Amino acid sequence: MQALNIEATKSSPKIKFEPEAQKLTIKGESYPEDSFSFYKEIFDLMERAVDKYDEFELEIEVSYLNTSSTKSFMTLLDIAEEAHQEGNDIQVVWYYQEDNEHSYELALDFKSYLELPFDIIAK
Amino acid sequence: MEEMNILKLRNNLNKYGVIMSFTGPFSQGIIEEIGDALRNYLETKINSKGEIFKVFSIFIEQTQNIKNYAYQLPDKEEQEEILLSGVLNIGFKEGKYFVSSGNMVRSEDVEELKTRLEEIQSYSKKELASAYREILRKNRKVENSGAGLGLIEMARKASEDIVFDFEEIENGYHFFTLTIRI
Repeated sequence: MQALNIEATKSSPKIKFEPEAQKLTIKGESYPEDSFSFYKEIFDLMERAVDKYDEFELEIEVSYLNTSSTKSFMTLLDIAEEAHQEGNDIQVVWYYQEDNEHSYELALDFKSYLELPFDIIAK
Repeated sequence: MEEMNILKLRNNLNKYGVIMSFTGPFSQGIIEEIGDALRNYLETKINSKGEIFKVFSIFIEQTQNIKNYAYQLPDKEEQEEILLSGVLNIGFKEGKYFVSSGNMVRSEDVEELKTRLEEIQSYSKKELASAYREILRKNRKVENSGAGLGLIEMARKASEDIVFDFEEIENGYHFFTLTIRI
């Protein structure tokens, strides 16, 4: 698979896919005008990645998600969860700034809906 | 033509504790700029990032609600009219920040929206959390899938009941207002 690097904008996060590291990183803030269109490509990438690699890491460091981005993250995490259910080694690591309850609570919500390994780490 | 009295307008905004006010069509660029200005302002007033994101998040959801409502209508001209009718106020009154918005809605949509809002109003925080979960867990991979989540998210972050009103304004339209205190 090919590497991918999408730079952050004010309302969309930086997205980096590293095939050698078998890792997808999402970092920044997310409240684009149309979050489904923005993340569609990432859903496809995630589907192909968990198909190809038995081990995969999803690193997330988002300070803010609006509700439609939250919905998109749920879709992305569901793809990871499905792969985990099928026996893949999937790891989610969620970083948040210690004083940002918004990000921490989002992480807790997501973690509670999923069974895959999900670490929440304060920075 | 009667001249507009800007001082009166300003005094009225002051009276209600309005810090920032915007009316007109919200483009993504405008939302980002106002959002930045709002956060810069709040950083001088509030220490906690979480609290700042609470106010910011309600601002974002309110503006996106207006846009989503307009864009689901089939007629372009009507979409523009609704977007133009948008008003957004962010303020501080009696120790609490609030975000208050208003926009035109079709009168035929009032009943459904009102029922939804009353339902949300009646929920406890726990019920809000499970309604949030329910919406988030269904309609996977469906476009425009944030629908309905915004209102619940705002109610979850609110420190008081959400306040709303519908007032008939002209042929076939009502003016919908929504206030969230944080």
